[in-house]
Amino acid sequence: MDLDAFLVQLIVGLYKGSFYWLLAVGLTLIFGVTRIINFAHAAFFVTGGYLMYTFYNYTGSFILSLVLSSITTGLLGVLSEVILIRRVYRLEPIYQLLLTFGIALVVNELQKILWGKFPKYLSIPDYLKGYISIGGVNISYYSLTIIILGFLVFLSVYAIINMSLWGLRVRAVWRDRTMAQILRINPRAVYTSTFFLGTALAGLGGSLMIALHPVGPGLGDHLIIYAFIVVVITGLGNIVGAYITSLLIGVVSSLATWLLPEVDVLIVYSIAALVLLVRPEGLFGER
Amino acid sequence: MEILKVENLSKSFGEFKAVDGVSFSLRELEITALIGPNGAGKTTLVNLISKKLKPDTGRIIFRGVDITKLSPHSITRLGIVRTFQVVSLFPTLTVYENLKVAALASGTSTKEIEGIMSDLRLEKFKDTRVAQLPFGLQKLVELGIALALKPKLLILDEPAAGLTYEDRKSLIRMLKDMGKRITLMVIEHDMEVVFGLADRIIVMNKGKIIADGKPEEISSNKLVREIYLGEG
Amino acid sequence: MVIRDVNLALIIALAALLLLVPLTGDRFYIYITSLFMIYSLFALSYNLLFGYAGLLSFGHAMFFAVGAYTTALFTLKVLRDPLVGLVVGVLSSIPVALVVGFLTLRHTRVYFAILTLAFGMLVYALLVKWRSVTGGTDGLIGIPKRGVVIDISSPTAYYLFILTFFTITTIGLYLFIKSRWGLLVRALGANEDRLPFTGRSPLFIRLYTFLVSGLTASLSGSLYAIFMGVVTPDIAYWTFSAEPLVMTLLGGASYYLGPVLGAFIFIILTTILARYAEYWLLLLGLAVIAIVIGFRGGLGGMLVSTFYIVRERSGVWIRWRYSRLKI
Repeated sequence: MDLDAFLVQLIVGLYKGSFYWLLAVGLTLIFGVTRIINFAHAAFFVTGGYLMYTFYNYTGSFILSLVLSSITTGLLGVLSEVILIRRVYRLEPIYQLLLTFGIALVVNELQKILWGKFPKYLSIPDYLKGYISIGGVNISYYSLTIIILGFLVFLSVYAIINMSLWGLRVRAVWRDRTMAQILRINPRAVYTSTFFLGTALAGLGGSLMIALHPVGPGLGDHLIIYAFIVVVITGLGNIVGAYITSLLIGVVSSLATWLLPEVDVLIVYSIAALVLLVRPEGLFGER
Repeated sequence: MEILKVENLSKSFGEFKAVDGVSFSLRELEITALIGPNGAGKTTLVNLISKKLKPDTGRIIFRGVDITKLSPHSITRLGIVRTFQVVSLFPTLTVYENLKVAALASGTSTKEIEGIMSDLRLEKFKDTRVAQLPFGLQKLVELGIALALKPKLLILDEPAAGLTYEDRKSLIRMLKDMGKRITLMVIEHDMEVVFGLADRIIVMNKGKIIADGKPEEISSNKLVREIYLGEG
Repeated sequence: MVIRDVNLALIIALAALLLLVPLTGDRFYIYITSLFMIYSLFALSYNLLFGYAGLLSFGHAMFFAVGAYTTALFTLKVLRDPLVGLVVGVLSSIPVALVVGFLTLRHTRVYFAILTLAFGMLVYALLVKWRSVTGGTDGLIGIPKRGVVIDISSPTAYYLFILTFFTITTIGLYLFIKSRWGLLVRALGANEDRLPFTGRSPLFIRLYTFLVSGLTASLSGSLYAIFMGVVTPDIAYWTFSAEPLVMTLLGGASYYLGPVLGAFIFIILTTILARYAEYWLLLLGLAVIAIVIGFRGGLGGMLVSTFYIVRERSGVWIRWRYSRLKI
């Protein structure tokens, strides 16, 4: 086996996995706290990409645009939660899924109206261009940046959830909403802030992706599957597991594309189906 | 004639032992009341017998057949029928349809369903959706479903809960009548129902059976009085 | 659930109306109406699972695609005849329904929904990757309308072909729902947890519902293949699975003909409005949101409510006339 090629695919897998992670972390957070599976989540990921495009063209600063687009996406998520999703907390899960599906449709279409039907692409800023060489293989700085950022996000989210006061509230509501209310925690505030964080992270993912891969209509549809697969294989509601699984899926699908291009997608779906059948709660799941 | 034999049944939820080594037998056509303070494990016991829950230990033998490993729908078809404390009907179906679902499993004919409906005075509501009925009538439908299943052993979980005085009186009459044909076990808190109905009373507390005997024996039992009336 | 002979009357009336369409001679109307019938069957099959049994599925396109591709492959490689191809296509759903059903139906509803998504996309991936058999993203073309047993190449002919199957299936499915099998399906959707304590196994009921639903969906897929003459993998993509869901919601999930109404609205929106309103998907998304938040009964629900309101506000005469129609 060609070790150099393997290394390349490994890196590819890791940064792809980091994207999946950025998408999955929000989904799992939102589900854990509100018990809603947000179909619109991937649509917001794409929104992040589009916003990044606009902000960058306007400000010329990569980092500033990154921050702005993430926050804006987060705010959009909050908007959807406050105006729409709040109304269905008491309904059956089926209707909640449908609502988020409707929101996904609307967001996708609005994006087409605002940014047109053709994909948008950004070039990597100059200070991030370039490669480092490891044993005859060139690895781009940008892909490393993504992997590192993904890891930092993981550490931050883990820290916030487990060590901050807000995180404590999140965990309380996650475990038992009623009990949390008795303890004077306002679940609404927790729900909304969780939506903000989750969606903002998705936006961050999209913003990072646009410099690597064109962002256009249809990307959301494609990604949501992977996000679901990650979240469901991990088991809804586990941060550490989600990070590990995201990276695993990224690496496995990347290796599969390299080694078995005929069946690459099949492998991921098959693994997902298999895991779910054997362990319906997911690999690391709680219920 | 032993219809049900329960041997050393236990069920824990984590640390909490809801049912702790319970053993008893039910005799055919005997009306048994199962009483005890809240949390004593009565409903859990019934859940174990009806296989809503799987026992951790123990055996259950029904008419000579070991049913410990069977699924709830098999048990129901064998003749053990239970009702639910919180009424559990098919809300979008009519009264008739609710009974019909049960009838399909037990081979009850349409005529017999109509008979049950008229016994329970529900014929007027035959085509009404159950969700639209007042609570008292829903309890009757719950009973109707149980009857449509042609039970050999009927376990009723707090049938009198929430009923008015009159309804309770007619319930006692109905159950006493039923008791001549079907073996009954009733979980109840209402002592009037219990003493008006039972041939035998089993008392549970903290997952164990602490008393078992005729109503007169139980009402004078020191331990029972302690638990219920806080004496001693 | 609304189940009275009103439905049978409506089906027959609809069939009669549909019979008139070929008389217009307008190819476009024939085309649209054919599509309407195919989508209606797809949506009806979906609602059996969703509205009646309470099982949300995101992989229903799998059956549609299986029916379509099997018919295509059979007529292209084995025997050139649409009717035989159709039968084979429908039957091919049985093993799929049994295997997938057995594997997925033992889970709770939420996991079932996600599992169907995974399986549906698995089928999609298979169709895309197995180029030698399925033609990959190009799909299969040249599905014949002229065969050894039957020749339906003229628009009127294939229209009547579709209409026949549409009418038979719509009535058949209705009779199924009214039967004792159907009662159990409705009980499943109403209160699944109670079923074991009324002597029935929920898994078994889920299985046969899934089977019937799958058969019907495959039928619609097979009809589609013959109608279009072409099949491509996008009919297995998960967004296509969402279409019958939306149709059902639009028309009203708790009415037998709700999906048919929904299919009608959907076709109007997609074909006619799409010419004028480029962003019909936006309207669709908004409609879905509006329905979930306000009108969970869909258009069917609104119609029925309106009917009641009109009934109450009208005089005795109308009340007497319509007292026979217990909706």
